[in-house]
Amino acid sequence: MTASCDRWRPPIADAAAGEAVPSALEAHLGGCAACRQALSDEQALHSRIAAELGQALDLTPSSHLLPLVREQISRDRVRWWPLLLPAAAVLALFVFAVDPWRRPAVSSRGAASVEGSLPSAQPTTLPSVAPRLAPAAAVARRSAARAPLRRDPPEALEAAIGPIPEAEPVRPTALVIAPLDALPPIEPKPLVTVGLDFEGVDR
Amino acid sequence: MNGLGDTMLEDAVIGEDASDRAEAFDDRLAESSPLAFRVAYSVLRHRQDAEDVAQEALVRAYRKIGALRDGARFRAWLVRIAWRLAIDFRRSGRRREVREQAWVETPRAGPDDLAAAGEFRERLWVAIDALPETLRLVVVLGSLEGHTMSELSRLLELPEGTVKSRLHEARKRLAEALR
Repeated sequence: MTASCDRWRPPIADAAAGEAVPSALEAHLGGCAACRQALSDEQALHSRIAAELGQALDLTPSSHLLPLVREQISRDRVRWWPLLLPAAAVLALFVFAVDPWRRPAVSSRGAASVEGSLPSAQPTTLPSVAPRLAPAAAVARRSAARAPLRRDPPEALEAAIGPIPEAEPVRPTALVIAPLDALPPIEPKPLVTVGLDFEGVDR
Repeated sequence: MNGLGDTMLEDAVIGEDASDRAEAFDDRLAESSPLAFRVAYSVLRHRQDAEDVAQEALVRAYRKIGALRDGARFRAWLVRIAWRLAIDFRRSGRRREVREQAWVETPRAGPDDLAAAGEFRERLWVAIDALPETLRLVVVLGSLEGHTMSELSRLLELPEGTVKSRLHEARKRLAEALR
């Protein structure tokens, strides 16, 4: 390839890379052995590149690939099932333990009738505690006892504000698990109102 | 490309029935796994790495198959997923250090020939890695499975003229690097 052939290098490279050979280059190649050789070398280089790449990439994945993918996909397909299990467990517990379709016979008010209608709901009886004063009276008595400046004994305070109601014993309480509509209605109880008259009390 | 698998997958995608889609995908799995593997291998050049990436690409394709509107584009879609995952994998540093000798040595070659061939392959991969990504993907896919220009155009979802010019440019650059 002579210096005058340098201008043919780009079209030779293009031709070797797959482009159509222009007629001018074809005419030059007819009379220039060096350029013919250059084109031949270039084409051989491209062939080698293609062969090497084709060989390098002509690979098959191992036999483990497909089973692994299928396994992962099948795990994806059943992934939502575990979410149903807790819901099913709660539902089963509700159905078998509470039996919501059975209407409880609540004729008299009280936990006993509710307990009777709930075969598997076991009431838990809390231990009864010692009787204590109603909150308002207890507060009044404690305040009177603690106040250092108050000379009146609790009895005097009682005399001033009137009789303090007797403490009601705390009733044993039953913890019952039952549907809301099976529970007895709650009756509102009148609140004990204590009026304090501070007239005559040394503050 | 427009075989039974494509039609089934296309129908399943259009029908958006999850079980149909899964079944159609399963049919395509065996056919498409080598493509995903080879694309990944062209980036990573390590069998185990490439299999890891191909597995991830196929599972990801399955999970996101609902986003694919046209089932006929499945292979092109899978190529892009595998290519992107392989590049991310290589950049992430998870890539195994020891590169693999992928070529089967020809028994007729002598030690000098083998050394020369090894050197050539090494230079070839260096040259491929140095190509811009768009050219690299074209040249790799062009070497895979004897894809024609129209198949490459469909795989890359590019006009044939663009594919042709990119392939030509890639080949020229490789030849320049290896001359």
